[in-house]
Amino acid sequence: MIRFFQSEDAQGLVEFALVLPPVLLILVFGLVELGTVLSVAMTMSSATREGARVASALVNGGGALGCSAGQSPNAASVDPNVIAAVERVLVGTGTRVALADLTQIRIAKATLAGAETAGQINTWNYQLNGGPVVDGQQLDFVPASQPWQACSRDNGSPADSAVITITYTYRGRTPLRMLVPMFNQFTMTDHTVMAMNANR
Amino acid sequence: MRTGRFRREQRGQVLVIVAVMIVALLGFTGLVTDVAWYEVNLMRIQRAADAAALAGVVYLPTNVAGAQNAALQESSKNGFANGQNGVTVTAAPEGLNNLILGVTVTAPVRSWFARLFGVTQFNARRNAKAEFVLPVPMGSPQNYYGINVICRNSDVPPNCPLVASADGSGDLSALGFFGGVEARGTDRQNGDAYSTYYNGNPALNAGFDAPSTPASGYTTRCSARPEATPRTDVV
Repeated sequence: MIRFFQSEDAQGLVEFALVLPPVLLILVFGLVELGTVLSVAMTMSSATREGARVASALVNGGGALGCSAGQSPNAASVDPNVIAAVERVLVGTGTRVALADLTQIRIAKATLAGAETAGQINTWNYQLNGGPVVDGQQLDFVPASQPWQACSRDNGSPADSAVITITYTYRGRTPLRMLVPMFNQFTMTDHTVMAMNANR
Repeated sequence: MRTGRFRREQRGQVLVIVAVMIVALLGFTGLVTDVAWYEVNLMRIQRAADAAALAGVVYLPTNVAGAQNAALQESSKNGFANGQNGVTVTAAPEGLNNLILGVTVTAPVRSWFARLFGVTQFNARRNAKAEFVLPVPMGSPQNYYGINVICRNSDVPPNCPLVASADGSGDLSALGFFGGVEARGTDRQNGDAYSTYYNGNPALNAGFDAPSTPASGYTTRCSARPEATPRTDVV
């Protein structure tokens, strides 16, 4: 009787041990994955906000608005400063963003609906230590096509709005990515819109 | 017979434990998911509120309608349009300081697991405030350091005509650079709480000192005009 009891107990434990771990592991991995995705989403949110704020504060870099000689003397430094602000957040303490998977940062003129205006999208692509130097720090993004010149950014009424968009390829970091194809790799994107600040 | 019953009971017991645990675990997973999603959306709402406040505040203090319009528009560009999908955006100047624009964005955030319990959305609300800082008063009476009207001695501000330029080729704009100068006997209204006091010396110069000056002080105006011929700087 006692032996039976013991073996029964053990059987229950064995069942427990066989059934539960896969379920538990999937749950735990799912939580880890989810947490990481949301952490990345928050970092991206902050990064685009930071970039948009810098773009809205710098406007055309100061001086008279326009692209002719003598106007907007610091326009060339505007976009690198925006990219630097975005990158600083992305690589800041505790972020889970792998910069190499952040393929693109775009600075574009926003439409009334907050989307990017076609033909007014500045693209910066990832290239390790390939970008311009801002505040002694070499950027990891290089300018590709740059149709929306900083010297044309108007803060008059109504002010232009800049939309900063970043595109990130998320790669799964738990074994869950072998079970659920979605967690293997997917693209996340986020953007923030801010109006050019007037300096009266 | 007895052993069989035991076996069944044992099995059932484990299953019940597992089932209860799974329900509890799933419940906590759901809680984590919903809270995290809520947090992400709080950040997005905050972002929209920040952008709205910054865009609108530059219209203050005079153009309140323009400020509200710009704020609502910018919030909408960030995905939170007033009156759509249950979103409410309000923008209003502060009661005590009309240079500060307060923006509140209220939006519903959908739930994922809480809908099992009939809760389909949570309400999220975020505030943002931005202040528009005007030119800083610098201790000169009733004046800001910066642009003012160029007046001749005989003119009474603000009725100052265009001033002929030194080389006679045209008129200078009536607007020029003004520097308020603190001098002995000057009335102070924006600066130091302890006023310098005019003791009668030197005597007021009727031609130079403005006639509208209060008896307790005098003011000196300095207007700069361009030279007749441009100077060549020696390097």
